[in-house]
Amino acid sequence: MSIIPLLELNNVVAGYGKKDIINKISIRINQGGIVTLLGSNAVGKSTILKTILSQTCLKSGEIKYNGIDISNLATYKIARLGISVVFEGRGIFANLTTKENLLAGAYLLKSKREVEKNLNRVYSVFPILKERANQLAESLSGGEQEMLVIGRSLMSKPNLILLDEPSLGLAPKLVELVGKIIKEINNEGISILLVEQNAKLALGISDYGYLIRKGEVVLEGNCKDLIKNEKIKEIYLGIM
Amino acid sequence: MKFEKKIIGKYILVIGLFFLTFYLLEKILSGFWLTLFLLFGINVILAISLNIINGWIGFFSIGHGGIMLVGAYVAAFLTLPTSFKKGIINLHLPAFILNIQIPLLPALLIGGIFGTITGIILVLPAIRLRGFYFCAGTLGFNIIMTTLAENLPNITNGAMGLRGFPAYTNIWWVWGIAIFLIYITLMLKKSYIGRAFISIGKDQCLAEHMGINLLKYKIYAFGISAFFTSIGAILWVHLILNLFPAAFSLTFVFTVVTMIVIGGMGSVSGSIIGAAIVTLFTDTLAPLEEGFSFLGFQVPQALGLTTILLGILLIVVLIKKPEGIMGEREIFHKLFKEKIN
Amino acid sequence: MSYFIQQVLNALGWGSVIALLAAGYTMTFGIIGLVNFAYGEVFMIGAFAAYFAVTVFNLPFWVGILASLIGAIVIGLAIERIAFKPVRGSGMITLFITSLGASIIVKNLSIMLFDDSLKNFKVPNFYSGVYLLGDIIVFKKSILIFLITITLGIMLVYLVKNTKLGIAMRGISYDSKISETLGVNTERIIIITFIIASFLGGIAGILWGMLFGSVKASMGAIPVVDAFIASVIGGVGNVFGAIVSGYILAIGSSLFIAYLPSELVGLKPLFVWVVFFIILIFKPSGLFRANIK
Repeated sequence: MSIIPLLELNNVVAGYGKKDIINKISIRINQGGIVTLLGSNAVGKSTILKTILSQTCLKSGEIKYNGIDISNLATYKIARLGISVVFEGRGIFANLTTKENLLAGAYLLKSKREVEKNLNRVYSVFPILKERANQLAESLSGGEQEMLVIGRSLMSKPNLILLDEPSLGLAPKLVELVGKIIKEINNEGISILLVEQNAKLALGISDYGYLIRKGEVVLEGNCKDLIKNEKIKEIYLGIM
Repeated sequence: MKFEKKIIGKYILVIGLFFLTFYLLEKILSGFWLTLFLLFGINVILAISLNIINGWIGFFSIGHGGIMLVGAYVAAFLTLPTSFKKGIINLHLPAFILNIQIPLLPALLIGGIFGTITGIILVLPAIRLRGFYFCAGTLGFNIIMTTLAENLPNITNGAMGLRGFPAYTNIWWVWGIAIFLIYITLMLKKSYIGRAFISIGKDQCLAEHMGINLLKYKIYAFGISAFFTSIGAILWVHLILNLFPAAFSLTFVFTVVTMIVIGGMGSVSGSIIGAAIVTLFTDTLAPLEEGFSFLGFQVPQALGLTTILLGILLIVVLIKKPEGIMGEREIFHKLFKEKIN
Repeated sequence: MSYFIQQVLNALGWGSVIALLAAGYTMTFGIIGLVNFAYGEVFMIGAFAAYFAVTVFNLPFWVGILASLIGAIVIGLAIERIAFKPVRGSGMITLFITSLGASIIVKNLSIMLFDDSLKNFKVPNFYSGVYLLGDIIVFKKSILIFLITITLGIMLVYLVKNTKLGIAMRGISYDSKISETLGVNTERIIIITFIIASFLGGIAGILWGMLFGSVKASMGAIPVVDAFIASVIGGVGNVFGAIVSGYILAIGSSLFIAYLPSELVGLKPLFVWVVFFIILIFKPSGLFRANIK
């Protein structure tokens, strides 16, 4: 019995303007899975996420979601298919309050009751956000802002969440918390594509992983195998 | 020695050619065409001087009308016949101004100096305000100056304006100054000062880090620009022979802005081309506005038609070729390089 | 004291028009960084459409209102599609210059077709007349205009603060890319914003006609500048701030010349610019919270 992957990238070449940042990338995520993209700075991991969202220039290859070609679909239409994103650098609306940021995440929902329900759910996962509900988002600390964007991505009850370096700049305790929350979200059935530099965190919670270098996949496999892999150990010497 | 003689010889030849051309043109061209040619020259002066601020150092000003007002009125005080000045009841200028009437050159210089001082005042907002807010500030400056000119009749005779100017402007003054300005801006563009201007325009922070004293160069740029803008305005006033506060309002400034945008904001030759196109447009098409008969049909009056067409031209250029006709390049690039060597 | 109050009340009508224009102005300023000089022409076309319907063709006043809204919205959207959409993303100055160009085209076209003389603007009878409070005169129409503006203002602020549309608008003002990832169709929201702004411009045009009893083709030139300054003072993209600032500028200008010797009355336009420069020096982000990055 073959299952159509939830999201697949086939030989995708993309970049900004003339420069190609990712070169023939192929990635697969199955429904309910957590997939991680590992690699150091500026290898093209974030570009992969942005390409899925049609925010870069797709030169060749295709992107399919539930079997449908979404290669050049407008960003807002992709969001409407149930794909949420949590960007690096927080991506909050600094001019809106915490609550308004969360409500913005529920933009696509029609029913007020559903919005209310999701809001309360997010508040129960991140109680600090309820405390800061009417404060301007820019006054929140780094960790709180990260929780805000994760919370916001949950508001629309997405099918797939793209996470871009959620642990960046966070204290170790918070990193642990973020990892736990991602696992919890996944347990509820939401698929995750996680981009991370923190290999320990990523490999600890993901099912499958891809190692990216210079815009290409150099290694892939189940995370239990990757953890034992010599190459990975070499790159992340001392951190694992 | 021989080498230097060759250069000097070249210069004398070129200047001689210009003299000859002007002499012939003055003889050949009739009233309408002569005026058109003079307007073209004045527009070249205004366009190139505006370009130094808007194009080179990248501060988009739409307030040069204020500078023009100062230069023009100061020169007017000095060049108007004394009988006229004393005849206006409103004017309460100091006696020594009422009693003199001077020729064009000193008026240009004195008016130019006052205009330059006004222009340097504009450097103040340029320090704190960036990009668009500077532009808005210059709009305010233009409106403030026009309003002041209208409401201080003791100095300017208010909205009624001044008339009776001596017709000083001729082809020698206009095109002599225009050629001079073209020459020095082309030289400037290749010199350290010019390149400093352009690097400020490209990236102010970077220029500062490279050691360029921003304030000093902004003052130079605003100074040069304001000086020649004033001269252009003074020549204009002594051509059309009247001056009133609304003469250099936003509409007039907008015309000059159109010239440099169409021509290309970093380019001297662009400003010349832009000035040519706009002058042709506004002043040859202007008579059409009165209405005319064409093949038996009576085409009705259409005042403001040329302004509308100019507006359309501007929008089309901004959409299709935003860098203008010349962009930042000059024509005769090779010839130009040769002259430096 | 009563002289002071009289000046304030006199400025209420004019202040309301500027407040409405400032609200519309700040919406497009916030959402796509557009300083729309052509907004004065949207305002003028709204007034002229009503003028034609009511004064020229003698249609009932409600038809005039409808004509004004349709006229304003059509012109507003036309200018957006032709002069702004093609250069979106080219920077504030380019957008400003194209708006200058559009303003000049529409204004001169109107002057060409209708000439720049004052046209009498007919108003229904019950708007005229005054109330007397002691030695203070209050025009009925001023009160009406003020009430209409405040009502619209409250509705607008509610829209911007509490509706999905408002959150989408403010989100796009801050960062349109992030908004798109939340499912917001930014193109559609921008068009809706222009429609609302044009709607406000049209209403402002009618109110102006009611207030002064006349309209002319160049009527947009000064109000658009006041609206711009009010939106900067109020905080770019902040509708509440713009409305409040509109009143501040109008009342301030009136008080300014009220206490000046009579020959200097022509200096009225200077007041708004002095305030502009003071705010830009001491509180450049505006008196209230701005909605842009």
